[in-house]
Amino acid sequence: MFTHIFKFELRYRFTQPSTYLYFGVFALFGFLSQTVDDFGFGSAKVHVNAPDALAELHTIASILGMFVTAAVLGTPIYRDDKDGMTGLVYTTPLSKPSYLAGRFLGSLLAIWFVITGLSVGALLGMLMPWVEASKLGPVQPLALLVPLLGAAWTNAWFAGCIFFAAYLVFRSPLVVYLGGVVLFVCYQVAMNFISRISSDHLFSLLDPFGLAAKRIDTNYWTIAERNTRLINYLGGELVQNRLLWCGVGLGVLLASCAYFRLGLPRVRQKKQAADTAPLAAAGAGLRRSPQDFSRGLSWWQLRRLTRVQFLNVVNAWPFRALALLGVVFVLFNAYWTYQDPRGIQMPVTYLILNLVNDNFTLFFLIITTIYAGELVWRERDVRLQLVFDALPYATWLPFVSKVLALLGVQLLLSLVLSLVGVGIQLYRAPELVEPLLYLKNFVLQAANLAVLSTLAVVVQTAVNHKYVGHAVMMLYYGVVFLLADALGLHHVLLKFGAGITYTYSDMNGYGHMVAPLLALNLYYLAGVLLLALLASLLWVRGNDTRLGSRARLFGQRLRTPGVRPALAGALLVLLTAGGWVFYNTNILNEYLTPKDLEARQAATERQYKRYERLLQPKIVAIDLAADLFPTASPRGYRMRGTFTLRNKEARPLDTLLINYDPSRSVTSRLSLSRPARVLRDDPGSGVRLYRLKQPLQPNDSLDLRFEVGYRASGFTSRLKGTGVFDWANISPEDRLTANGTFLSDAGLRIGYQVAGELEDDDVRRRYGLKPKDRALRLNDPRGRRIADFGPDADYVRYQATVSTDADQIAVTPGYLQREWTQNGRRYFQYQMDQPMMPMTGILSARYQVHRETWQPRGGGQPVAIEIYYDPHHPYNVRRMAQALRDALPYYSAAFGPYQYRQIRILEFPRYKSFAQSQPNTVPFSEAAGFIDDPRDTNAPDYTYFITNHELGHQWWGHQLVGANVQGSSMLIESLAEYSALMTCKHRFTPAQMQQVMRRELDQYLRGRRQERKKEMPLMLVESQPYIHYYKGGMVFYALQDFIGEQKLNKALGDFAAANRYKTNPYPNSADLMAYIRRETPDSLRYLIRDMFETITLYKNELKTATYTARPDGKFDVALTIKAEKLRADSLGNETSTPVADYVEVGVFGADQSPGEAWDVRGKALVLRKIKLTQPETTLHFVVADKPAKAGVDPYQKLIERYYVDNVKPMQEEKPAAKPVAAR
Amino acid sequence: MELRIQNLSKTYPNGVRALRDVSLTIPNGMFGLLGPNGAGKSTLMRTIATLQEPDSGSIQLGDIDVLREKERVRRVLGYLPQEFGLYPSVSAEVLLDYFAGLKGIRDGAERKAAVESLLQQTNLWDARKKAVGGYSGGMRQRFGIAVALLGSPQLIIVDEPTAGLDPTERNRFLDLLSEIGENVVVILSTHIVEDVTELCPHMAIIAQGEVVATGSPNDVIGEIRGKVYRTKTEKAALAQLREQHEVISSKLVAGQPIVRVFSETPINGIFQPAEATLEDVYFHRLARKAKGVEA
Repeated sequence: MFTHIFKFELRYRFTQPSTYLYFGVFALFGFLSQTVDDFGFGSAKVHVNAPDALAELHTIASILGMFVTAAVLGTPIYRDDKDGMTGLVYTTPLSKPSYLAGRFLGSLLAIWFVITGLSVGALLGMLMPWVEASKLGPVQPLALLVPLLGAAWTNAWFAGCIFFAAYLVFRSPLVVYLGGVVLFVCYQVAMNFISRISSDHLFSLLDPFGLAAKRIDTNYWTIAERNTRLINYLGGELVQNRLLWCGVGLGVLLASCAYFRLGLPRVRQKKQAADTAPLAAAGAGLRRSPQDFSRGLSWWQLRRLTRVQFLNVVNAWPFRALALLGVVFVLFNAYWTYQDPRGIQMPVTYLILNLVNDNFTLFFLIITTIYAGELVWRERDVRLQLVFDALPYATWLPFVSKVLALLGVQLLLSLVLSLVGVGIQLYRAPELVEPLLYLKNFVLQAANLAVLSTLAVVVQTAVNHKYVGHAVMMLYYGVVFLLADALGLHHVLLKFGAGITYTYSDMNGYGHMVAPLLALNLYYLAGVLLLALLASLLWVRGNDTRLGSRARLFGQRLRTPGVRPALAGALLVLLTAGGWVFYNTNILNEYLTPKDLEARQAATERQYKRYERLLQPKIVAIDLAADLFPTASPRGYRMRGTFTLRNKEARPLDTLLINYDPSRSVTSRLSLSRPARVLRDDPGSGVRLYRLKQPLQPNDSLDLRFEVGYRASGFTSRLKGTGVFDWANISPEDRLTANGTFLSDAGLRIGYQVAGELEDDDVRRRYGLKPKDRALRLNDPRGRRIADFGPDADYVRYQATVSTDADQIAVTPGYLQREWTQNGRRYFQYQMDQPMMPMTGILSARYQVHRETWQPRGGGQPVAIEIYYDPHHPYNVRRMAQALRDALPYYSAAFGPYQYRQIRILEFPRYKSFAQSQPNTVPFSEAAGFIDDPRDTNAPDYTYFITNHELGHQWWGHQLVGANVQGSSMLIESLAEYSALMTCKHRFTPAQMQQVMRRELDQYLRGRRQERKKEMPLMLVESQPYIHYYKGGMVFYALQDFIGEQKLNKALGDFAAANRYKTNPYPNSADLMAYIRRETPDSLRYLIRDMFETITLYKNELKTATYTARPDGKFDVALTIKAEKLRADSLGNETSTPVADYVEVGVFGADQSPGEAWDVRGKALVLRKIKLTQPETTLHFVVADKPAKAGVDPYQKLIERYYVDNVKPMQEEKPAAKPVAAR
Repeated sequence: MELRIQNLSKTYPNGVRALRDVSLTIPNGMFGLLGPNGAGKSTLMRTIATLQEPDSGSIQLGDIDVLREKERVRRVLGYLPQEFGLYPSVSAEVLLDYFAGLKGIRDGAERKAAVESLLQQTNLWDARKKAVGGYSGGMRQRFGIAVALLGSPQLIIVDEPTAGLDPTERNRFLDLLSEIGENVVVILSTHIVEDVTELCPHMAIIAQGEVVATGSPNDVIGEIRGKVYRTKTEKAALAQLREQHEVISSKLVAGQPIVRVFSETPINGIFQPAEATLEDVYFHRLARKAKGVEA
C-alpha cells in the first residue's frame, strides 16, 4: 500500500511542470552565484566556489526556498481536500501510516530533487569558461555535496515536516504559511543577536536554518580557510543545531500524524443548524422592497463592506496569531537589546521607533501579502462569487473596500506597536516618551502601508491567482527592498514604495528630510492610486477570467463616466509629484549613481595619475572666513579664505595642481596671488592646473585665495549609506543642517590625491586600471616626506572667523579670540597658537556647554574641558569629562605634555556614527556615546573608552604624525587605542576590562575573514581598521602586561619626545620599534617578532585541571596544558612554529560575578607567566584556598582563535588512597 | 419586459462550444429552460446574469443592452447560481442584511422588514441566528433564493433551483416563483421535466449548446402527439428493440422495462399508443440531436 501511494506521489510530482520549474529556478540561482559578479558569496579574495561561499549559497537559498518547500510539502493532503477527493481516497482500504508516509516521502524526495538544482547550477556555473580564473578555486565536489546535505536537504526536511504537519493539524493552507513565518522569525531573531558571543550558543540553536550556527562556527575563519575548508556539519554549533531541528521536525511530524484522522476536514463551526420543517402555507406573498440607487449609495455600501472585511480579517485567529507573534518578536528583541552585556543606549523615542519598526516590518510585509490574497479571494474561496458578483454594486466597490480593510488592519497594528513602544519607554525611562514623534512616525508608516497595501491588492487583482500574487509581491520586495542597488536601481523614483532612507536625529529632527519625504510619499501614493484605478477596472466579476474577456470588460468599464477623468487626475498627480522629485534630484541637484562616482574616480586617476610625483608647494597657513546659514532658505555656507602655499622643495616649482569639490551644488572660485595661467580646468574631476608666470622659488610662498559656496537647492536622491568613514561621499545637504552642522573643510587639496583612487582591485579591473598597493613601503623616501593624512600640508597655522545663526554656537579648532553679534548673526573668531595638522572641521548647533577645568598636579597650564551637547542628551556629559580628567594626567605623564590649554567635545547629528580628533576639538556623533545608558554599571563604559581614544589622538596623530607609508596607522590608531585601554585598565573592574579586551580580539578575528587584499603584520598595517584598532589594542595591551606598563610607556614617551612635530622625514613604525626593542628584555624579544613583524596566533588549551585537598588545609593543583603557536600568511594559511613562550597560567577561586564559562571572575590564587616549551606540559601548584577554575592565558592577552577551551572548572581528585577494586 | 437573446455563441478555451448561435425570446412569466447536464444552460444563464462574456451575439432586456449595461441589469436582477457557498461563520440574518445593503435597500427599517419577510418565506426564520456554514444543502439553497428575491427584481434567473430540495420544499419554492412570475421574467433552468410542465407557460429545450425546441409546453408536445407508443418488454429484448425502433426512453416499472418509442407511422403488435408528454419530447429531441451530431 505504501509503495503504491509513494509511487503515485512521485509520479504526480515528477509529471508536474512546476517541479522542473522550481528546479530550474534553484539551478539558475546556483549558476548566477558562480558566474555573475556581486551575486555570489565570494569576495575579493574568497573564491566564488569556496566551500564557505557554497555553504552560504546553499543555506540562504534554502531559506528563500522555504516558499517552494511550503508549496510542495504543504500541499499533498491539501490537494485531496481541495479537489474533494478526500471522500474517495479515504474510503479506500488505506492505512493512515502508509497514506501519510507515502505522500510525505514522495513530496520530500521531490523537494530534495528541486533543491539539488542549486548544486547542479553552481557546478555548471563554475565550469563556464568566462568565469575569471582568479575568482575560482579548485572544483571540489564535496564542497557542493556537504552543504547540500547539511544545509539544503536538512532545511527542506524540517521545514517540510513543519509544513506537512501544519496542514495535517489545521487543514488550512494559510496556517501552512504561518508555520513558515514562525521559522523565519526564529531565524531573524538569531541573526539579529549573533555576534555578541555570550549568547551565541543560544541563538545558534534558535535559527532553524543553521545559518547563525554556520556563521558562528566559521566566525574566525581566515580567507584561506574559507577557500579550502569544508564546513563541518557534524561538529561545533552546527551539529547541535541540525540535530535539534531535525528532531523538532520529526517530533512535530509524528505528533501531527497521530492527531490526524482520515476524514473530511473538521469545519470550524458552532454546530449544525437544525433544519426546520417547511411551512405548509405559502403565506403572504413576496415583499418587494424599493431599491435606492441614488447618489451616495456606493459610499454607504463602501463603509458597510469595509467594516465587514476588516472585521473578517481581525477576527480570524491566524491573523491574531501572526500579530501576536509580531509583538512578541518585538518585545523579545527589546528584551535582548537591553540585555546586551556590551552596554545599552537610552531608550530615546527614535531608537524605540527604530526597534519597533525594524522588527515589525517583516510582519507588515507578510500580513500585506497574505491578507491581500485572502481579502481579494474571499468570495471566491467560499464559492460565493456568483451570488455576490451579480449584486448591483459599483464594480470598484469591493476593490476599494478590500484595500481599505487591509490598510485599516495594518493601521490598527501600527497603533498597537506604538503602544508597545510607549510601554517599553515607560518601563525603562518614562520621561523620554515623545508623543508627537510617535504621531509623525505613525503618519509616515500610514503612507507607506497605504502604498504597500494598495500594491498588494492591485497585484492580486491583476494576476488573478492567489499564490502567483504572493510570489509577485515577494519578488517585488526582493527587488525593491533588498536588491535595488545591486540591480542598479539607485534612484528613489525607481525604488517604488521603498521610500527614501532618512535618519531622524534628536538634534535635527526630520530636518531636511521632510521635503523629500513629503514629495516621495505623494509620488508613491499617486502611483498606487493610478494602479488602483486601473486594477479596479480589471476587477474580476463573474467567472470569466480569460485575458480576452477581462480586456473587453476593462474597455467597457473604462468608458464608465468619471473613470477617465479620475485616471487622468491620478496620472497628473503622479507626473507632477514624480516630476517634482525628478526636478529636485536630477535638475536642481546632480544625480550620480555609485557607478558614476566610480567612473569619475577612475577618469580622474587616468587623467592625473601622471602628476603623482609632480612636486607641489605645501599649505603653511590657512586663513578662513566661513558664514553658515543653517536655517536660512536656502540653507548654505560660504567659505572665503586663503591658503598660504610655500615651496618646501629644493627647486623652483611652476605648475600647481588644485583639487576642488566637483559636485555641482558646491561652487569653488579660485585665484592665485601671483600671475598664473590656467593650463586646464576640469570641473568633471574637480582639478585645475596652473602654470605660474614666474616659478615659485624654494622657500618662497604664494596665496591661493578661494571662495567656496554651497546652497541647498531642493533635495537629492541620496545613495545608500556609504560606510562610517566615507565622510567624503556625504552630500553637503547632510553636513549643513538646521541644527548640527559639521563641515570638514573647504574641499580644496593640493597635488594629485592618491586617496581619491579606487581601492578595490575588482572594481579597478572593471575600469581597466591595474591593481594597486594600498600603501607605500615602510621606508619609501617619497612616503616618508608626506604626512599620513595627505600630501597637501605639514603643520599649518590656522585662524578662522565663523558666523552662524544667533542662537547657535560655531566651533572650529583653535582658541576663541572674540565673539560678537552683527546683523542678527553670531560671529566667532578662532585662532590656533601653534602649527597644527590641517584638520579644520566647522561645527555649529544650538549647544548646551558643560565646562570644567583640569589642573595638572605638578603645576603648569590648566586645561579647559568643554562638552558641547544637545540639551536632549545630558546623560554622558559628566562621564566624558571624567574620562578626560582621568586621561589627561595619565597621557601627559606617560607620553609628554598636552599641547593645548583646552579640549572640546562636540556632538553632531547621527547621520554618521563616529568620533574624530581634530586639534583641541573632538566632533563626536550623537549615536556614538551621547545616548549610552549610564545606568548600566555592569557593562564597560564605551563612552569613556571612545572619549579617551580621541583624546589619545591629540598625542598620536597631532603631536606625532606618521609618514604616508605602511605601518603609520599603527602609530596613530593603535597607540590611541592603547592609550584609551590603559585609562580603562585603571578605571574598570577586571570583569569589564576582560569584556573590552574580548571585544578587541573578536573584532580583529572577524575583520580578518573580510580581508580584501592581504592581512599585514601590525607594523606594516595598511590602514586596515581591524588590524590598527583591534589587533593593535590587543598587542600593545599584552606588551605592557609582559614588559611592564612603565617600560612600554617609557618607550612610547621617548619615541614621542624624539619625534614630536617631526616632519620630513615623518617617523614610521620601525622608528617606534627601536624604542620598544630597547625596553624589552632579551627573554621577551620574541614578542616583537610575533606581535609586530609576523601574524602569530596561539592555540592554547587547558586539557585537564584537577586538585586534591592536602592535610594542611591547602590544595594541590595539577594542570595539563597544550600549547601551540602558529604563523599565518596574508591569507591566513597557518604553519606551526616551535613554542618557547611565556604564557600566563592561573588558578582561581569561585566566580564573583556572572560571566561566560570561559571567563575567570574569581580571585587569582596563582597567576604567573610560565615558559612553555613542550606541546603538552603538566604543572603543579599549591594554593591556599579552594580552587574553582583554572586557565591558560585566562585573560586572553594573546591572540587566539579558539579561546573557549582556555579555562576549565577544577575537578576534585580524591587523595590517592588505594582505589577500591571495582567489580 | 421582454428578454431577447440573439445569436449568442460561446466557446470555452478548452474547445467546448457551450452556446451555438442561441436565439430566444423570453416574455414575462415563467420560462423553463430544459436540458441535460452540460447542455449550456448555466453558461446561458450566467451570461444573462452579467457574469460571463459571450463570444458573439446580443441580449436585450427591455431597453437594456445586457452585455454593455451591466449595472442596469444588476439592479433588476435576482440570480441564484447552480452552485455556491457562503461565508461560513456569519449568521443568515446578518448575511442577508449585508446582501440587502448591496442590493441597494438603504432604508434600515425596510431592510429589516425585507430580511425578516424573506427569512420567513424561505423558512429560515428559526435558523436565522445560526452560522450559515452549518446549513444543510437545502437550507443553503433556500438562503440563495432569499438573496435572489431581495429587492424588487424584474429578471429572476434561477439555475437548477430545485436540485437540492426535498419534494415539499420544491413545491413551496415553485409556488413562490409562480407567484412573482406574473409580472417579471423568471428563467428557471432545470433538467427535471415536471418543473417545466407544471409551471412554465413558455419553455425551451437546449442541448449541446443549441436550442432544439421552443414554445409553450403544449406546442412543443404537439409535434410528437400521436407518435408515441409504449410497451412492456424483457430486459433481454431491449437491445433488439432499440435496433428496430426509435426508443425515446425506457424505465423499470416493478422490475420490468417499459419502453416508449417514437414512430411517424403507426406501429402495432406489442405497442400501444401513448399520450405524449414533455418528457417524451425532451428525450426525443435529445436523441435526435445526439444522432445529428454523430452524423
